[in-house]
Amino acid sequence: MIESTQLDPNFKDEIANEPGGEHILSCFTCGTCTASCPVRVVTDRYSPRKIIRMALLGLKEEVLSSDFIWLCSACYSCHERCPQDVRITELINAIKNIAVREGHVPPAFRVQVDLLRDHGRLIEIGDYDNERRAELGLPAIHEQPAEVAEILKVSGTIALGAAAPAPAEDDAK
Amino acid sequence: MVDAARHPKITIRSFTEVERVEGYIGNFHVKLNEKPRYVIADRCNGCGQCSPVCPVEVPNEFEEGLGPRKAIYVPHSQSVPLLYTIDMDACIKCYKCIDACGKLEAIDFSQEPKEVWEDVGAIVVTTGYDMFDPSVITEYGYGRYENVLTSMELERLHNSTGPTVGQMMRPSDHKEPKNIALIQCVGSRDSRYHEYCSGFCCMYTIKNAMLLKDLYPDMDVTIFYMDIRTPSKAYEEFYQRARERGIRFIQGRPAQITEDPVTKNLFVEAEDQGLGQPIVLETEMVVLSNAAEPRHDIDKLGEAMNITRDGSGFYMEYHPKLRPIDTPTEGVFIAGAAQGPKDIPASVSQGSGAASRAARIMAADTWGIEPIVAVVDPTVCFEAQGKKCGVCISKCPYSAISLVPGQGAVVQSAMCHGCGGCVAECPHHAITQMHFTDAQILAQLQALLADKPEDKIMIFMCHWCSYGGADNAGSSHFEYPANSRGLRVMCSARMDQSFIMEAFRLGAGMVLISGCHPQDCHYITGQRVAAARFERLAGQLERMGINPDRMRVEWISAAEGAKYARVVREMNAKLQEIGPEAVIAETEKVRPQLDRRLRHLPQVLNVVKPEKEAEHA
Repeated sequence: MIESTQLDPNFKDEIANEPGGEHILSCFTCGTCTASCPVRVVTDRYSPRKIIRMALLGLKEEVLSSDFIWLCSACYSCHERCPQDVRITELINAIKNIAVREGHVPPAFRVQVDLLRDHGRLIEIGDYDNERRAELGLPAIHEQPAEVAEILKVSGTIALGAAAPAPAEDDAK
Repeated sequence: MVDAARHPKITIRSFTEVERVEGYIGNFHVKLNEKPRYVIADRCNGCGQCSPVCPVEVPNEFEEGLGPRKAIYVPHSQSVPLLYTIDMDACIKCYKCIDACGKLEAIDFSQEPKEVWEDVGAIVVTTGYDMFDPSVITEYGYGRYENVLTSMELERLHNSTGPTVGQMMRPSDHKEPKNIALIQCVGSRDSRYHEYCSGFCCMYTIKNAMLLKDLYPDMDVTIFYMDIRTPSKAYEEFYQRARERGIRFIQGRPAQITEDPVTKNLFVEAEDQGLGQPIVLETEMVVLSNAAEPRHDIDKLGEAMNITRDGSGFYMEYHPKLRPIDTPTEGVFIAGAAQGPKDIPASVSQGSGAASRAARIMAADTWGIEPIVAVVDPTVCFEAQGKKCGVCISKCPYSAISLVPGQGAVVQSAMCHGCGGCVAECPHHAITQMHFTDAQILAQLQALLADKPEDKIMIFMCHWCSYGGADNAGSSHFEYPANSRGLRVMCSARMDQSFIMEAFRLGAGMVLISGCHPQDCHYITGQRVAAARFERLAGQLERMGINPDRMRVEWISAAEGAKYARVVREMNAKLQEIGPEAVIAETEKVRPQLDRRLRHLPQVLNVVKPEKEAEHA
């Protein structure tokens, strides 16, 4: 059961003040987003309508610590069809930004940051890849980790890596 | 309708468009364009011999295109008047209808559009609505999937006089569907199309569901909805009966519909919110409850009569609560869906109301109007002296001012609503407003600022909104500084820039200009005229050397007492910050410039002189 003591009435305003989250208060929970969602087809854990509902109610800890905000594939189906212009994909990004600021970064995401830092891409390039590319007449590709690491450093994202210590609030911004 | 057609005092002009409306309450002259039917109305008796011989078949608009009609036709069998019409876009001029008509000789291919003028005392506009085209919502597939229909198409399909003679069938295979899904809020409550709720769709969808259940008890009927809205008398009971009848209601707006290309069955995907589970419902037919929307030509007719439109595009009433049938043009009334989507009982009520509003005018020999109208002095009016001007005509929101050769601009008193916008805008000071003359307003201004003007906040208020806001502040006991002084005019458009300059010339510490919010303006465009004027004036005053903080423009509604009090408090704080000495010094500095700018106001100089003499003496 949800107790009113669990609820943070300011959470919805916090989201509404975050870039991308401005339209959350327009939601009238019609469920078009959930019924449009391709992620929802493969996992019961994900439902954009429920996330918005929980956020509007003020279940802040539950929303920020849950893994389902990270499951959004950003396909924009819900965004296109939403009759109240809630802009759900951008809204989920806004919630993710708040989650990161509050220290909720899922392990898989931290590993991805490390991969980006070390290889400049999410998939390591091996000899096999370039051999296959040569067979197909495609030019070889090379990792350029230094440039990507610079972007990660400037944007503060590098601090989110698994190898790095847990981010301080300012770094995450 | 037949009774109306037979009534000796009712003339029905069908197939006729309103082109122009001139005149005013009690004396309208309406220019009509009577389109040619190519059938002589006095001779056609509606026997219908012509239609069967016509070889041309085109989609029947009344049947939503589900059935054919001939090129010579009546819209439907109960049409009033029962007169045939030839659709010249479809006609191949084989003249078979002429032979069929025989001795009546009612068909006349030589007819032309006819200009007709009617003199009427009052006008009631009841132009109804159009239906939203749901094909733009591509995820529902209307127009692409054969078995996705609109509610109007369903109405024709199960109607015994419809194209299938009441035999319910789906378009793809002409078989009776075993199940059907009805989808609510298609194009309405949707910020991409229409934000408003169409209002009557819940009830007609439940009605259709009940009808289908009665005709085909084994049919599986599902309604997808976001909220069921049944607020009127006995409506909720009807909804209850529908549930008890076995109609399935699923709360959840469908996200998309897909089609099985072989069976042409449809899959409706939604989230059943009661269960919190997505649902895919396979159904043989889908019916969309599409939104009601304003008539496509609502603008043309509205412009002819000076009726404005609301944010949704329907005709705007004079006041949403107190004058819901009246329009800004006296003697013109609106009723039914022309004013906004509504169902039959509401339309009938509003229609009856409009008829009785109109009857008041018809029964009266004379009609009283507010005496606060504008009057032009022809000895000053530029147009009267043969020079070009026309400023007042462009500023009048009611088209009440016209140019009369030799007389210049003339205000038609019966059409004037007394906003005073033309008075303030006339560059030659040729227009005056009765009971709100320049002399009266300036006398008030001078009295209000007679004593220690540098300590005062001079507030200009409009009658409908900001004056109400000040009143609301008082009656709600919101405190605001006692050094504020209010001056009321009908509309912010009446606030002549000379009044503001005069307030500063008299040495007012602060000047607040207030009026309605743009969407609330009681004189259509008065607030916008005022807003543009004060934006210009602010720059002029600053260049003269008046501290821009001393003038403020705020739009305050009659309900915003708290805002009124806050604005006055903020202005008082600013005034204390500036200080009376600075105000006096600034006034002394700019007075010669203001004297020059205001020399056209004789009243100002009259009052100024004795003061100056007193100072010298």
